Amino acid sequence: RCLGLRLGYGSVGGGCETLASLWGWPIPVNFLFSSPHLPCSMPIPRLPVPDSVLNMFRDKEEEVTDDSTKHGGRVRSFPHERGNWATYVYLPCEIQEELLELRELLVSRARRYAVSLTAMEEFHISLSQSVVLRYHWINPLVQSLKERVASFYRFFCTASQVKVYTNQHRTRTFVGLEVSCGHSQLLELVSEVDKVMEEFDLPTFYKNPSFHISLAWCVGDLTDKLEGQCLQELQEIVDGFEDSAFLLRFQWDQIRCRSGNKFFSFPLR
Amino acid sequence: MPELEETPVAAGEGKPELFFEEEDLQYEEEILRNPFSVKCWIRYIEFKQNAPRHVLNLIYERALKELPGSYKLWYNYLKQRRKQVKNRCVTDPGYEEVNNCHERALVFMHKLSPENAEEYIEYLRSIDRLDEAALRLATVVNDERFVSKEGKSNYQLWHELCDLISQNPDKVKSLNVGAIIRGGLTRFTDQLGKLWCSLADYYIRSGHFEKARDVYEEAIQTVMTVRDFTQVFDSYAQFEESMIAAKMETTSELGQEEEDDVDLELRLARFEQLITRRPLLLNSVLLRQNPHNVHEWHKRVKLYEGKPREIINTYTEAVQTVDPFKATGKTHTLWVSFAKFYEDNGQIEDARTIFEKATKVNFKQVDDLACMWCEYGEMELRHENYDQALRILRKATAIPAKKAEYFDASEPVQNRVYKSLKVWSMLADLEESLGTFKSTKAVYDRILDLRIATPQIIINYALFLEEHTYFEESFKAYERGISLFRWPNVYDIWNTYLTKFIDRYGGKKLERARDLFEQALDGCPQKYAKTIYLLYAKLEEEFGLARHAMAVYERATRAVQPSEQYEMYNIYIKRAAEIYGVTHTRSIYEKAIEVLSDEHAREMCQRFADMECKLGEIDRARAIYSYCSQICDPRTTGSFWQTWKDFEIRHGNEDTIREMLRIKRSVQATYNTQVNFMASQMLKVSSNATGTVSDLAPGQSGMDDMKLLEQRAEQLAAEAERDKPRAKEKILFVRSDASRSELAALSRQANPDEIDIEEEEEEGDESEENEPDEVQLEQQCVPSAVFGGLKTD
Repeated sequence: RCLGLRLGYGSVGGGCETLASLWGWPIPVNFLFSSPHLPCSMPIPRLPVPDSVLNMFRDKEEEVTDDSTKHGGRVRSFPHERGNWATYVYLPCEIQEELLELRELLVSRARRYAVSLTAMEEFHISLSQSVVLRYHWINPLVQSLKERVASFYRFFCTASQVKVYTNQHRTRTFVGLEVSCGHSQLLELVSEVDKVMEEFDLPTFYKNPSFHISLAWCVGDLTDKLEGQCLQELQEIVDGFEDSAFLLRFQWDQIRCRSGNKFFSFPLR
Repeated sequence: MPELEETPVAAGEGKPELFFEEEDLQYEEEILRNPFSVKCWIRYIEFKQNAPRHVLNLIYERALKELPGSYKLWYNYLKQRRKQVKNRCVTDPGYEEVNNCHERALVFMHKLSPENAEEYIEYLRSIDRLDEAALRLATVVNDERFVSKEGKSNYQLWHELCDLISQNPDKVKSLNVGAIIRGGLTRFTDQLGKLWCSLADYYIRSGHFEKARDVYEEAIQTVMTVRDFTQVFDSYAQFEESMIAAKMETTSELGQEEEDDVDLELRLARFEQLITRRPLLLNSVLLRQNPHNVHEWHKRVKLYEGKPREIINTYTEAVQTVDPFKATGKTHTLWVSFAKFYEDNGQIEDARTIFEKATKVNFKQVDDLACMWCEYGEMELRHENYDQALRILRKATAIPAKKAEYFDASEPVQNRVYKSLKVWSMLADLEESLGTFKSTKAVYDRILDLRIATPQIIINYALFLEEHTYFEESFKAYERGISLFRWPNVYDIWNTYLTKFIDRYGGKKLERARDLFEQALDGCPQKYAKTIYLLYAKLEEEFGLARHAMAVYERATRAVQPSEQYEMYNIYIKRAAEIYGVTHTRSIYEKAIEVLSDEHAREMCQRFADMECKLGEIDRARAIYSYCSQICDPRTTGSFWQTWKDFEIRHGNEDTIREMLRIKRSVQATYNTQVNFMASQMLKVSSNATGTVSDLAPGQSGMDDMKLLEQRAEQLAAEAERDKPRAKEKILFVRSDASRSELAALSRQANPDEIDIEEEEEEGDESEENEPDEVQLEQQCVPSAVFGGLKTD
């Protein structure tokens, strides 16, 4: 190798060609470049930012005083920022007296296991994750959704299996009813919603989703407490609920999208 | 003696000599109005300066009667009186009078004494009692009512005091020098440099060198103007220098000691440091003067190169000091370079912090904040944090809590930046390369919704859509742009739109394309019509009907700017010839000749005639030439006549050539009569010298001398020619099939460029015309060459 290099230098008059042949040799890169002239990368000392600069415009900063009491101790999964519109797509559930009753039963039973559940005020099946939209995306996204779900027919599904869920960051735990019948229609819907999300490079729905209707929730990951004996008891309550077969059969006739404080509804055929 | 008569004082008590001259009246009126104004009296006196002494004295007396306390009047009066008796004998009674005058003056002026204080001080100085002199001077300076005899201002006196005490620190003991000068520093702010120097000078002279240095340091840290700074700095440098020189002298005299060596080195280092500090100090002065000078702040940072801590401090001070509304220069550049400084040091996180702070600054213009956001984004791009860059620009374009109009200066820029095209276009760029189709489209749509788009944005948008094969969407974008802009801004959009539309559909959507063209041409200014018409015609040619294409060209020739009409006709004729054949171009030519300017019509005629000629339609061609000749002044359009001549040589006969020449003359005559009549009158005399010329063309007398000379030369040449031996009388019978050479000979003889030949034709028509034959042709070459030479002369 050394020889090859010398050869290269020896015939410098040859110009490019010799240089090319020089490069043709399998010379290790570090051999060519480890010259003492090259500056050794000294760690540059870190320079401070003066406090007085850091303290500038403190008052103007958008105070994200996440007063957790305002939303029942929930923790934001993404920070609030101006121009961000939290958005999700779901199937809304009509509220029935009996269902509320069932919810109360479940909440009170869970209390026996030292889990203080908060009752959900409305019921739905999520078809997307919570995503962040820019304001100017809302309309095109809604438009796209409308076009994609327009061809879907109304359908039924049943949900009678009690299950415990946590959110992505395990900051909340939910007790819900898993969909047993109607799964395939839901999957089809999700795949359309996912396409819309992809159009904006937004996260798609979970892989192999377990569709469910959440009935109650609590802060933190309390899966351990709720699984097992407790879950079994909750399931018994549901199974034993009067007319449950009829009650836990849901009909879907519209899809909704919520973006910030805006609601959009897409009726099914 | 007149003096004797007037000197009895009290003004003009009915003295018979008292009378006013005409010019005096205005002065008299003035003093009547303001009898107690010294100025008025002085003015009167000045005016009367050269009047006889008794008149002058009288005015002084009158003035002093009104103003007996005026020192100025008395002073001048007494001076005047003394001058009047200057060369007289002491016994002259005039002296007595003047003495009386002085006595009287003393009666009134008994209170005026301090002016002598200056003399006294001067005296004290001269006998070297400086301490006392300084004391006196100080009391004078402090006395506000003091009036200087020498007309010095309070500042001047004060400055004298300064000089006195600072230069003689050893002798002036009873005054607190430092306090006095410092007092001056607050009082005379326009002389700070000088005063600081005096103060330092005092300490130097009293041997307090360290104190002097302190004074200098204080001075250069506080002065506000470059002038003061330079004064102090130069004096400071001089001081240090002389200190070093003195030190060196003493060491060389007393021999070296180690201690001295160190001391000297210290002094040298100090001096050196002072000199290197100069730019920075000067910069400080400028910033003290105007702390909102962005440029000076940048300069300061540069001066601190290699000293990061100082740079940070400078930036920190700068961004906190400069008020964007008072700033000269762009405030945001300070923030940008501040962030860049951290970025260059590999501290992206800190650079981000700076940018975040910068986005909250209350800038003067929206554009500044927009720049800030863009720079922030650019930084992230430099470090390949593409998502971060996208996030930043998305944040920049978010709708603020309170929406405000872009130009509403009463709102902070943060509430207006969401309408800045700058941030939006950068976001559009980023979305195009980093985002999705939909997110990019959303951005462009948003830009359009905000009504901040430019034609370029529209075109970019449409091209972007086209790239993603959304052709109809792309056309929709153009349509939107067209509805947003008016002519001429909409031109680029139309141009791109139409081109793209044809590229896409060709002839498939002909009706729609036609509609578009009609829409585009509706209201299109002349200036922009050409391209669109050409596109339109091209469309019709390629995909539509030739007839339509011709109609479009026809319309185009009328719709474009007059300067482009000729070109348009050329294209029209060319296309018509290609599509329908040349015969179809006749009507176009006719139209063109009718419409175009003379110059272009002439071109058209020649080409028209040429075409007819090629078609073998000699008569038509000739008719065209003949028609065209009406707009061809032979003096300026030689080429046309040459062309016609060539044509006749090829296709004509003697008659036709003669006819051509006849036309030429008549055209010439037409043009001649149009020449300024006055000019012809004026030159009549001179033109008589060359009678033939004026006979031939009286209007031509408007020509200059050179032309006249030329003509005379030609005349001579013609005469010479006439003297030549005559050839046999051969009648040249020229038919249309006459040989070329014969025709050439004929025409050369009738060379339209040579006026003399025409003259000859006038004079000796017959002989000339019959003359030429082969032999003579050769001979004739000579004279024509001679003419040519003369002509070019």
